[in-house]
Amino acid sequence: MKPLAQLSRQLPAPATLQELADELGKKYTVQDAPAQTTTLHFYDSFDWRLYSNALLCFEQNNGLHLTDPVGRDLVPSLPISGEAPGFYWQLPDSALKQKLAPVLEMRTLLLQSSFSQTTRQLRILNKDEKTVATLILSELRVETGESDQPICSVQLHQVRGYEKWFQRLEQDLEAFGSPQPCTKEQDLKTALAAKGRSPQDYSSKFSVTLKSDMAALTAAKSIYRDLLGTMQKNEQGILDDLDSEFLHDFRVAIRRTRSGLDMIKKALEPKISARFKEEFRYLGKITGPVRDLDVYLLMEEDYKAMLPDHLQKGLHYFFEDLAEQRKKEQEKLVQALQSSQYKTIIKDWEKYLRQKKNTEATEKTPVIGIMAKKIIRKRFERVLRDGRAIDTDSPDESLHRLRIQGKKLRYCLEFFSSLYPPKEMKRLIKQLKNLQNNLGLFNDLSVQQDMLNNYLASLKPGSGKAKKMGAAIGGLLTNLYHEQQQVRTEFEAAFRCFSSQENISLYENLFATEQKPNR
Amino acid sequence: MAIIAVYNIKGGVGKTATAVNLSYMSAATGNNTLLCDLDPQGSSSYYFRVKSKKKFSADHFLEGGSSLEQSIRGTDYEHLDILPSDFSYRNLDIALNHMKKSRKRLKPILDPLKAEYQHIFLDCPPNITLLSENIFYAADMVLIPFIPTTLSMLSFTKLLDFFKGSGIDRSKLFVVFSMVEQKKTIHRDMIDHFKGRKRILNTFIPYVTDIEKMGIYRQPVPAYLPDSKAGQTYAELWREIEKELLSQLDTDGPGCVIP
Repeated sequence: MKPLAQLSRQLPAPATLQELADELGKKYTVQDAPAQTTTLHFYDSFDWRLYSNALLCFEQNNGLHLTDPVGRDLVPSLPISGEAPGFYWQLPDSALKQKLAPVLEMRTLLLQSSFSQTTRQLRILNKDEKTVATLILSELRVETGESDQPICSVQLHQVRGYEKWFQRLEQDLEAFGSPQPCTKEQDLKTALAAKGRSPQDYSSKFSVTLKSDMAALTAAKSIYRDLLGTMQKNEQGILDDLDSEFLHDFRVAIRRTRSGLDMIKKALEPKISARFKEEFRYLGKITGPVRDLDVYLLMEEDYKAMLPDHLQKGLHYFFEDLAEQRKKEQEKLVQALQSSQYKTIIKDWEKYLRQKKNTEATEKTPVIGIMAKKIIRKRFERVLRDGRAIDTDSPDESLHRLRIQGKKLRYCLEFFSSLYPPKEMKRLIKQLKNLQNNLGLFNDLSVQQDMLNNYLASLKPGSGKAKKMGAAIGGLLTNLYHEQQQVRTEFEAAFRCFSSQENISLYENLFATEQKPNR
Repeated sequence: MAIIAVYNIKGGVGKTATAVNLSYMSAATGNNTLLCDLDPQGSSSYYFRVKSKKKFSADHFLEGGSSLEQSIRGTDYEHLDILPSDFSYRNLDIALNHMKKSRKRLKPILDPLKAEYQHIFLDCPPNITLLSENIFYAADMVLIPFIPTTLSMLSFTKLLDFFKGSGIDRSKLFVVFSMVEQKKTIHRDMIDHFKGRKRILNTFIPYVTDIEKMGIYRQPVPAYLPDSKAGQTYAELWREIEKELLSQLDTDGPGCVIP
C-alpha cells in the first residue's frame, strides 16, 4: 500500500505556531489536544555507528527506542530509566539488543544530544466529526545556556483514505515557514545544530583536503593537524575508559603521524622532524600495553567458542587475570596522559602546526603534488618487490615486514587521496585492503600465539588453577596455529590480486612522474 | 499475522461491538490492524464515522488488490484502519455464486493485506451463506460471541455440524460469552457448564450500558472509557486471544493451509 503522506515546515517563532492554529480554526473544525512535553535523549557511539547505519536510538518516556531515520520503531522499545544504556551486552535480551550488537560491536552508547519537545496535536474533523488529517505543532528546546528561544515546526500527517484533505492543508501551510524533512533525524539535526554540532562530527576515517600546488610543508601540517585533532578528541574517552576504541583511534593517529614523519621527510625542518619522531615513538610506547590487552579481551567470545566445555574454566581464569593486568596498565596510562611530559609534547606539536610565520621555510619545500606521487610510487614499488620475493618457504618474518610496508602504502594513499580522482583511489585502497586483511590476520595470529606461549611459560606449575589454565591455553594454541596455516595459504591469492597488471597500470597512470617507472 | 473473523449465525449477539473493541485493542497494543466491515448494515463503519467511497462496491471488493486498498481508511486511532462496508455487500453471495471455486475466493483477496497488517478482523454478516463459508476458509480464528442461552446452544451445534460437513478445521472456532447478565440463572448455569473447556474463552463480555453507549459516542469502549469494567474486559479478552494466536502459531507453524 502507498505510504501515508506527511510533511514538515520550520516556523520562525512560537507566535507563528499560534497564528497557524488560528488560521486553521477559521477554515476547519479543529480539535485541539492539550500540549505535551517530553524529553528525548539521543544515544550513539562516539563514531556515530548507529547513525551511519541509518539507525536512531533514543530514550523517551522511559523507553529506549531504535528507529529508522524517519522515526519508525524497528523493534519494540525497551523500558529503561535515566542513564546511558552502555554496551549492547549490558541490555536485557531483546530484539533491540540483537539489532544493536553487530552495528555497535565493542563501542559503548554515549549521550549525543538531549532536548525537550512540547507538542500540540490538532485534528481536522469532517462533518461526521471524523479525523481527516492531523497536525502536530512542535517546540523544541535545547539547553544552550544562551537564549531559550525554542525551535518551532509543524508536521502534517495524512489519514488513509482522505488524500484531498491533506492536499488542501498542504496548500494552507505554504504560507507558513519553510519546508524541512518530516523525520526524527531532522529533530536530532536541529538539536545538534543549536549547539553548533552535526551528526557524524567525529569519524575515525582520515579526511583532509589538499591541493596539488600546496607547499609540502603546508600540506604536511594540515595532515598532522587533523591527526592531532583525532588524538585530542579521543583523549577524554581514554581517561574515562569508556570503551576500547578511543585508545585504538588515538593510537592509529599516532602511527599515521609517525608514518608521515617518516615518509614526507623533506617537508619538515630536520630538527623538528627528529624531535617529534622521538616523541611519537614514546606516545606509541606508553599506549601499547593497554591496547594489547584490549585486543585479547575483545577476543574472549571467539576464544570461548574454540574450546570445549571442560576447558572453559581455565580460560575464565586466564581472562580474569588479563582484566586485572589491564586495570593496572590503564592506571599507568592515565598517569602518563596526565603527566607534564605528555602535555608538553602535545602543546609544542600543536603550537608548531599552527605557526603560520615560517614562510621562508615553507617556500623552500617543493609542492605536495609532485612529492605525493614520488612517495606513493616508492611505497607501492616496495610492497610489490617485497611481496614478489615471498614464496611458500619464506619465513613468517617476511610476511610481517610486508605488512608494515603495506600499512605505509595505505597511510600515504589516504594522506594524499584528495589529490586524485576518488573513484580510482577507492579502488586502489580496496585492493590494498584485501592484501592487508590477509597480512593483518596472519600477524594477529602470530602475536596471539607468542603472547600465549609467554603466558604459558610464566605460569607457576603445581596449582590446580595453573593446570586448568595451561590446558585451556594449549587448546587455544592448537586452534590458532591451524588458523594461521590456513591464512598463510590464502596469501598467494591475495597478493596475486594486488600485483595484477591492471592494478599496476592504475598506479602507473595515476602517479606517473617524468621518468619511466622501473619495474 | 492472523485473520480473525467475528461471526455468529444469529444477529444481535454483540458481534460488531466485539469486532470494533477487539480491533481497537489490537491496534492499541501496537499491532497494525485492519477491520473489514463485511456486514452490509455497516455498523462498524458507523462506529468509526467512516463511509465507503461512492465508487466502491461488492465488485471492487471481490477484485481485491489496489481497488480494495484504495478504499481502506484510517480511523481516528493509531495503527487502526478500516475497510468500510457498502450496501452492495448484500449481493456478495450472488456474486460469489457466479465465480469458480466460489468457496475459496476471500482468502486470496485478504492474504496480500497480511504484509501490511498484523491482524485483520472481519465483522461478518449474521447468516450462513457462501460468504460465511469463504470467511471460515480465510480466517485463522473464528470468534463466536455467544449469549449463554439454550437457543444459542442450538445454533452453535448447527455451526459445528456445518464445519464438520464442509471439512473445515474446527480448531479455528473459539467461543466468547457475550451480553452476559450475571443476575440470570440460565446465563450462570450455561457458563458453569462450559467453563474451562477447550476453545471456550475465560473472559466474558458483560451486558452493560457502557457498551450500548458506543452508538452515542461513536468510539470503541476502551477509547472513551478505558477504566470502565467494559473497557477492562475487552483489554483482558484481547490478551487472552493474543495468547491463543501465539499458541496456534506454535502448533500450526506459519500460515494456514486450505484443506
